[in-house]
Amino acid sequence: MSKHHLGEFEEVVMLTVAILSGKAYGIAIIDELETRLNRKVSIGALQTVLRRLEKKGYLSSELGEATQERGGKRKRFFKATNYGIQILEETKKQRMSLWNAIPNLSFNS
Amino acid sequence: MATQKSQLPKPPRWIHAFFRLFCHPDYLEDIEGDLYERFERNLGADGRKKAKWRYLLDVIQLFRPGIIRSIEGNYHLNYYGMFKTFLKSGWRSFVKYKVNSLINVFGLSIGIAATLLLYLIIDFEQSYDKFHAESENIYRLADKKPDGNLSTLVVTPLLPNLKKDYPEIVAGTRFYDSEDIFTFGEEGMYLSFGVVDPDFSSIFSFQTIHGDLEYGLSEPGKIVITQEVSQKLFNFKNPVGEVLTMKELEMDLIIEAVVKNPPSNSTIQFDALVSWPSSPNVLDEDQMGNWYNTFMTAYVKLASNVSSVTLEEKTASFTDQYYLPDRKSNLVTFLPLEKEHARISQNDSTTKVLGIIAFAILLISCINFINLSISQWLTRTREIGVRKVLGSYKTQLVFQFLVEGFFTTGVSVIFALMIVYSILPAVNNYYNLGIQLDMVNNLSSIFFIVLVCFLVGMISSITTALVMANVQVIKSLKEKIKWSGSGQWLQKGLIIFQFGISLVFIAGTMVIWKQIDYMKSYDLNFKGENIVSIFAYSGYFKDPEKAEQHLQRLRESLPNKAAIEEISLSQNVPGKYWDNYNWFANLDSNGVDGLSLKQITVDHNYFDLLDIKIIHGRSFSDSIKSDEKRLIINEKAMKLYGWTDLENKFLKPGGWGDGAEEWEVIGVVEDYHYRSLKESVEPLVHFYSSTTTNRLLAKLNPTMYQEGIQILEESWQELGAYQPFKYNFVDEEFNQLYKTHERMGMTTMTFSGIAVIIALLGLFSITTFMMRQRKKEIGVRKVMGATVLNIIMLVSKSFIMLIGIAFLISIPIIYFLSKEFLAEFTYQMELSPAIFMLSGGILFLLALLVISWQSLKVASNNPVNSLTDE
Repeated sequence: MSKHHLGEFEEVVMLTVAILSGKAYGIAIIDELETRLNRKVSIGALQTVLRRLEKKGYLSSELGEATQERGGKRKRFFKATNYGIQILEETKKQRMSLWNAIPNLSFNS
Repeated sequence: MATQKSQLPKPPRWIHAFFRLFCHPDYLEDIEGDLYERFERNLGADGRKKAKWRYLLDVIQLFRPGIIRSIEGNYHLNYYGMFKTFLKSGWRSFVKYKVNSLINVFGLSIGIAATLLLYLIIDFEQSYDKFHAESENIYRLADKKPDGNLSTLVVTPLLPNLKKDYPEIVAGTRFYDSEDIFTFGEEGMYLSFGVVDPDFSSIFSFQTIHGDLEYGLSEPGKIVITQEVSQKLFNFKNPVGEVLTMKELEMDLIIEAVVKNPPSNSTIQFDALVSWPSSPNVLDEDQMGNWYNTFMTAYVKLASNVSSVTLEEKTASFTDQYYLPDRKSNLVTFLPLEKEHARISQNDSTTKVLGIIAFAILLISCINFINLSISQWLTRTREIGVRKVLGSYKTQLVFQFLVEGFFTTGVSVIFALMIVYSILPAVNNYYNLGIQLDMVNNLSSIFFIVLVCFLVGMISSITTALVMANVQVIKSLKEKIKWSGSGQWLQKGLIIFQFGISLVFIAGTMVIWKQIDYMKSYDLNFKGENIVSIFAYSGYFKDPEKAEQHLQRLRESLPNKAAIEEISLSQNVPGKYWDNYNWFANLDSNGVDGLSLKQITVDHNYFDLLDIKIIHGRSFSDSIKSDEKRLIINEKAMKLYGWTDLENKFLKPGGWGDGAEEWEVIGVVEDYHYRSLKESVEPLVHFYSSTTTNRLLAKLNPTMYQEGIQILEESWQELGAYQPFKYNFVDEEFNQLYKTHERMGMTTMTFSGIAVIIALLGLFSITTFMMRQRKKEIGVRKVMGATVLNIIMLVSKSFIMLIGIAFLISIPIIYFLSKEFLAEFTYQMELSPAIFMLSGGILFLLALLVISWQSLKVASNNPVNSLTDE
């Protein structure tokens, strides 16, 4: 499993894409991250991660319809693939197993 | 609405353009949209200026590896895969036909190696004397006789007077090449030195290490030495200011400068330079150095806009004014220094031959490569068919041939480089060259390698490709394609060509060797066998006077011993004659006024010892004192003077002042060859001196020559010399004159060998492929009752025909080239048909051997094996 390791930002982006279910494109993801996590993200940083995740096969994407907005440019909508979801769940499981392994004591001290 | 939209500010155009420039094209559209969306939003919230800043910031943050387009572009991904399969299938077929593939690579690499080596040799030969600044303006002076004969030896006053009369001559120096022992304290060294004018330093670019070259040559009592001499005598100390003593002339010279050794590609070679002002007085104009005596060379530098040819024409008035009566119609000619090496070494023809050989070998290996590639591809027609069915373009197929061709060529070039690298030292040694192959200095060579590699790969692959890419799909898939059609004709033609060249090589080698052999066995009219020659130059000895007397005593005492039959002391020995000549006026009323004769001083035993026949008059005698004022000439001189007998024949040497009276001619010797057989015998005069000791000749008793040499060595020890005892046999020494030709013979032999080997390798490979294709046919034939011999005949027939055609074509070429080669020699052997037959026979036999080796293997196979196997 160590081969499929998600970085923190990668994980956050994947989760956001999953939240937006089908409406996840560049600016929407950035907005979502800002409102939910109060985290400012540049287009460059986000796009790099998106392309990387797509190349790894965790995300898939397709271009939307052209509209009057955005200077007539189409949006690219991202979607988590089954494989991506599986990885997300595994990541979650790993985190949980780590959480569960913490003895209660440590919180008290 | 539309107007309102257009009033909205847009993102700065240049930032946008920058983004488009670097962004990966696949990502461009949606990121552009994101950027625009964000810009619009920022415009509403923060105003125009801030939005623009944000936009710029966003674009800068997008400038990162994941987003930037890749440098190579994005549309060739498919080709990688194709490329990979090309290499893979290429490698598989290479491995499948290991022997043939190796032969292919091997043949090509020795071909390239041979060519490269020859190129380096030629390149070095042509680099001679080009290291001087303005080398194209430097000329050597020579005398041109009306008949076109040149002599680079000139008289002492020529250069100063030329310089005075012709302002076109910017600078000029005489170069009198001499040798002497130089001593420093106890140590003595034998140096060859040039006596030169001060202009030497401005004409030539020999690098100065210590001191001042110009100053060192401008004043008397100074000497300039080379680095090598300096290191031997003074280790690594700066020797400027030390004093060397010239032994024979007892002259002290102060070292003024040290120069680097003349490079090996320099015509002018010396260990030391002595300035003219401090030269020995034999060079003074009023003594021996006059308009008669001709024994030094001279170099000039002309102004860059002066043509040497027009200047040569102008010198007609000069020679008319200054020259001796018989030389007035001579011209002073200017020989370009850059071409001097080729002229002196007469290497021009050798270089030309080497060039031709290089080209031919490259051609042969190319042909071989093409032939083998075609054969190899014939076994892969199915692959081509499948590729075509699957939609391969013709260009892509050609590309595959190119890839594989270049791959093989590349490997061969690497091998070739390794071969050249490892044998270069031996080659340098053999040809006496100083070639260095390093990547900094030999840019031209590297360029050459790349070019050769490229050309060979290109030509071979394209030819193969043109033949093979036309293969018809259905045919290639349904049946095996036979050795037929245009490919066959191409291959046949190439084989003819290859063997034709090989034949020319073999015959050429034979002609060269036979000519050398002919010259060696030619009757030279003197006998050099069993005669030992020892160079006994007086400067060799610690006490020259005593040594000279001792040598003269040896002449009398040594023949008393059984091992030594006779001793002669002379100035020189045939094969080593100097080229100096002098004017001798004819005092007889008959015949011409006078002649320039080559001259040599000998003693009374000389003619007897060398078995030179006296055809008129008598030889010199030690009992007649006045013989020292008498002369013996050769037959040629007698003929040119127009004499029929020797009654009252007197000659008067020119330029000897009043001391020279009339010299009686007392004898005529048969024309013996004192120079190489390349030249005819020229008129010659012998002076008599019983005290000349330059060379000691000893005729040994052939049954006891070990003892003879021992006796000579013991006598040498008694003389007290700086140099160790060294001897040569006269006949061997004479044959040294043919060393360059022997080298040429060796070279053509070696490279002919290579050419023939490559050709045979090719033949071998082609028969292998052919036999593989005809395996079944041969199986059937055997079943039907054919014998092994029948089959070998069947297979060989077509090849033998080809070689026959090659033979017929090559005969006129061989004849023409041989004539050309022999034209260089005055004494030529006869071209006999035996040479043609022999070379043809050799090649024929070798080819037959190769073919039957292969076909025998297939023919002796049990037909069951070949017929059951599908």
